[in-house]
Amino acid sequence: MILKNNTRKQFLAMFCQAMKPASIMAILALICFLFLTSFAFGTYEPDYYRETAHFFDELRWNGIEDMANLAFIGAGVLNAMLCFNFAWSKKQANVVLSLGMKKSDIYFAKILGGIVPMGVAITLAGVIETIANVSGNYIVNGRFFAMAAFTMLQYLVIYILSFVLSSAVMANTGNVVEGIIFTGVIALLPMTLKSFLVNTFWQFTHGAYIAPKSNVYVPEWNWSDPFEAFANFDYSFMSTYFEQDNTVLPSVIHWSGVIMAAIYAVVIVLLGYLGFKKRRNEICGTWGRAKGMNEIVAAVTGFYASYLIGLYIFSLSHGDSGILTYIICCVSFLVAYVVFKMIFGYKRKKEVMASFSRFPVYAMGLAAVFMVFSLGLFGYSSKVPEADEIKSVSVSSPYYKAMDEGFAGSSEFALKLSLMENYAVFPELDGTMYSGGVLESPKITYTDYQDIEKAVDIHKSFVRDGKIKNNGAHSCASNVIITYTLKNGKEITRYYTEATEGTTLKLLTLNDSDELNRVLFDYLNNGLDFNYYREIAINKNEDGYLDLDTYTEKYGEDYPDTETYEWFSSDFSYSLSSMAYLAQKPCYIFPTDMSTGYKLGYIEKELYDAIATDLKNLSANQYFNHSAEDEIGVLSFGLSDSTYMSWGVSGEVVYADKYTTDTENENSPDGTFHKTSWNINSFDIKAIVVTKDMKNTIAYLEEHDLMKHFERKLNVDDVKSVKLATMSELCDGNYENSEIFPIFYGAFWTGEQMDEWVKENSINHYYYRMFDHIHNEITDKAQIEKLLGEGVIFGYCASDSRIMEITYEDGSVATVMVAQTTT
Amino acid sequence: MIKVSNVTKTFDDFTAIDNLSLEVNNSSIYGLVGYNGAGKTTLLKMIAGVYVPDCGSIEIDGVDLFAHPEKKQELFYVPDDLYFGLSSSMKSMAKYYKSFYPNFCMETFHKLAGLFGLDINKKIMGFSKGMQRQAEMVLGLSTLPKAILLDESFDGLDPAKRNLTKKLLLDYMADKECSILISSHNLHELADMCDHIALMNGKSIAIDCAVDDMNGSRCKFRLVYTENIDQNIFKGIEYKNYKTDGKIVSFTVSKNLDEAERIIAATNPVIIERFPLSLEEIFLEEMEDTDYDFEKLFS
Repeated sequence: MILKNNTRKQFLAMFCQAMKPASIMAILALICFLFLTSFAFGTYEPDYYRETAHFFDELRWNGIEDMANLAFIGAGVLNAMLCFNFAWSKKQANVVLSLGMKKSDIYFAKILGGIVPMGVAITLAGVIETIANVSGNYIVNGRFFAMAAFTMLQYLVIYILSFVLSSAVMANTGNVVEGIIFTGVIALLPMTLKSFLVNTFWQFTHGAYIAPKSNVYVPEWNWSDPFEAFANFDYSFMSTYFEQDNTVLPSVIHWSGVIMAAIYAVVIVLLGYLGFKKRRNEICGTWGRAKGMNEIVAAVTGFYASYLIGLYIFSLSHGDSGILTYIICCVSFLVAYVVFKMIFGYKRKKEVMASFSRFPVYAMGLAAVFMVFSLGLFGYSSKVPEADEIKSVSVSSPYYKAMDEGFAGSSEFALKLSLMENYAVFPELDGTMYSGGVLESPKITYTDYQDIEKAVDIHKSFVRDGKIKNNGAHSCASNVIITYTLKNGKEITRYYTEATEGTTLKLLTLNDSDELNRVLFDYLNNGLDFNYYREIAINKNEDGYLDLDTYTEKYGEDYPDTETYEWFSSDFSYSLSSMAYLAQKPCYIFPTDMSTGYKLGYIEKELYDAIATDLKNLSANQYFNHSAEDEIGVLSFGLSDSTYMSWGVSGEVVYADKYTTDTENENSPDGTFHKTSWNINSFDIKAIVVTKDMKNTIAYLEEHDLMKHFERKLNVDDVKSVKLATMSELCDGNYENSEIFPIFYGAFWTGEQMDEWVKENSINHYYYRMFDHIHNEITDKAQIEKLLGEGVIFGYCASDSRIMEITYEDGSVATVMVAQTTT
Repeated sequence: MIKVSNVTKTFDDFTAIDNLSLEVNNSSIYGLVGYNGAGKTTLLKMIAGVYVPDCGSIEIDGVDLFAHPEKKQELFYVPDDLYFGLSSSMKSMAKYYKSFYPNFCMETFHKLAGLFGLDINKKIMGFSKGMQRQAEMVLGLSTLPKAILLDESFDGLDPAKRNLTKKLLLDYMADKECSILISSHNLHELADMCDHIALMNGKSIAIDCAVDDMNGSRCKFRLVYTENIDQNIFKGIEYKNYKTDGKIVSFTVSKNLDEAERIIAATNPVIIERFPLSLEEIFLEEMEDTDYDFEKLFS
């Protein structure tokens, strides 16, 4: 009985023993927190501090936050080393394990002893910071406490996770080196596993709605990676706009991260205990004899290798070589696994031989994973609901006319000869992949049954296409997200980055839906206060910044601080919608030969309304498949703003007379100028191709005698030669067809400019070098004249349409498209 | 009482202890002798609960040690490799042990520390090896254990302290009816202290008997003949270590000593000499047929 009664005393003693080393770190943490509190309250301007609530703002300063996180992670590892040092010291094990305590008591006493001091220190620091706020009459309200609780819990959870994971590993290994390395390997597992699932899902299935580095699928609950909640949290905004903006407060994704971290911590503690209970104590102080842990970490290391190398190979082979990828995955796994066993094995030769005998099991596991994903999760990924089941469907597509990417501008990956970017993927450890894909396409929600049927048909078309060969002649980029809301309340989301030509053509037909045209019209008219934006633009000073007086008068109340003003005045225009661009940028009129332009200036509301009405009324066919005869010219916005010129973004626009200023242009007698080069779809340039179907626009232009500026200046006599090539031929290994949106935008460069590029060895060489490997040069004037008559500067580029490079006698080069039907 | 029943312990594919059984009675000092790697420390660590046997049971006073680990509070293990905290003093270690051993007696602790002349406030890491052993012994005895496990615990002690320790252990054993299990290479040390000796001969116990029984249970015969004799004339005697140097023959006998002497006498030797074997000789004799066969090694 006495012995039983003493158990609690022993537990307490062991707990106190563990608290001793853990207290050192806790005291250090408390000192750091106290320093921050005294620094903040002793340094800051009281008035500034009283404007908004503050809670350890300094921890959110650049770099400090990462340092703090790292410090807590490091403290967790270090304390685990100190608390569980008996696990890797024979001498200590003799003492601790002969004490007459249950292993469970030893383990849990150590765990608690490691956590409590830091918990006390963090809580104390939070309380002191709160008291400092209260005593200084600073803002302390509900939001303050929400932020305070989240901030302190965040650090506590980071510490606890780090500590319990390290402890669980240390308690089950034989020496400190193994303990640290194994902890590191296992710590990477959640994020790697998440990355693996996302990327494997992405690479193997068609229609995966979780995509690397995309916003396609953002779960509300942070299941996978507790640290992600902290990483994603916008701390910088939290304090600045604390009083104004509710959205910056911790939300479900953040709190769920904390909750999941706590749950994971409990699971880790229990797993660690189960292992510790079964652990053979004779491994204390030995190398490579923690068999269970050794095997787990070896397998995890093998998994890392197979995933990283396998996925890399898979992405290099563009998803075509599933079997090869599997073999490479297996080989990578085996190599990493065997190497690990050679390093961490107790009897290396024997362990290595055993590795080979165990390998088939792992290979079968890998095969099972490959099978499951290759089969599209047994058909799950290719499931298409029936139209009758669907309440509404939203389709996010880059092919919507005149809306963001569908607008004649800013489609980074559309087929344009000025810029083609590869977006090859490579996995990163944080679960993301680099991808240059454009994901933020406009989204329209359809509720009309016919529209729903059309969307279902498009989806079925995607499913029929299956995995598309990236370099297939009839494949192209799609970036389409289809989200169904079923009548039973469920949601189904699918995401497709590439499509066949047939599917793309179906996608284009969505432009004819009443819903889209209604949304488009609202977007063009109701969604924009034209005069508001125009006034902003006109009031900019010559440096491109807003006039301060105008700014202060109009917007000062909304954006009170200087920093915000700077942001507003310099970058605000870029955050505007596409249509605001039309209000903010001076308009230029170009003919279809694109050789000369006329500066119209800021457009009137009347012209804007005419354009908006016409865009709404244009059918998909009129918009994307108009003929050369229908094409009248281009209204371009964004060319003349010197501020944005200096950004030097892709699709550089260079003005006539070598970077002449706006002022000089404006001073020219008739407003016309000669440019050296331009293309109509640069990143910062929006353009509208005017066709005969745009009756209202034409009416306005005629009324204001502006149609004359559409007159072509160059004709067949000025042309030296032309070359023709399909999109596929132009890609020629540099880019995959599926990386390119099949929307063509024309371009023009003067010979002078091209000479300069050659001289400067500029990257822009690529603009015209794309045709270097095309040798079908046509010089026959009759043929050229016919082709010129068929060339369009904007439209859908079918797989057998031809891109035509026109080389003029003066060395200028233009690219237009000759549609399939007319060649 | 410490009772070890059919205990086996393997390390990977190496069997360190194989189906070993022993009993250490109350008021008994049990000596464990064996060559290096014979499994003495493994056995002690199992009894201390540090190692878990693969099979078999270990009981203290009839209570299974692994089913009831709290029973270890009545047992103190003094390992070969001592561990003290970096900045620990005897006083702080006493506090440490006091919280884990309910019977820990501070009065005894102070008395014993005084007896050994140890400064309880001084850092133990500053002690010599022998002093550290004394300190551990003091701490161990202060827990007033019912069973003590000592692994090579006399190493590094000067003769005076060694005698003092022995005396203390004997007194403590007698006073508290304690079971003491002590392993050592030093056979002389065990001979004058233990009432029971076990020889570990790799994996198992080769000899397990009371010291009193061991004395006289084996003897060495030295015989002188007038002429060279054939070894076969000793048929019927279980002897070991047979050596002959012309007309002089010697060997050891461990069973039926009187019968052996009768057979020898029948061979008409000129001289018969019978010597009792010392503990060390018994140990070496047992070891002879195992790993340390030096004659074979260097032949």
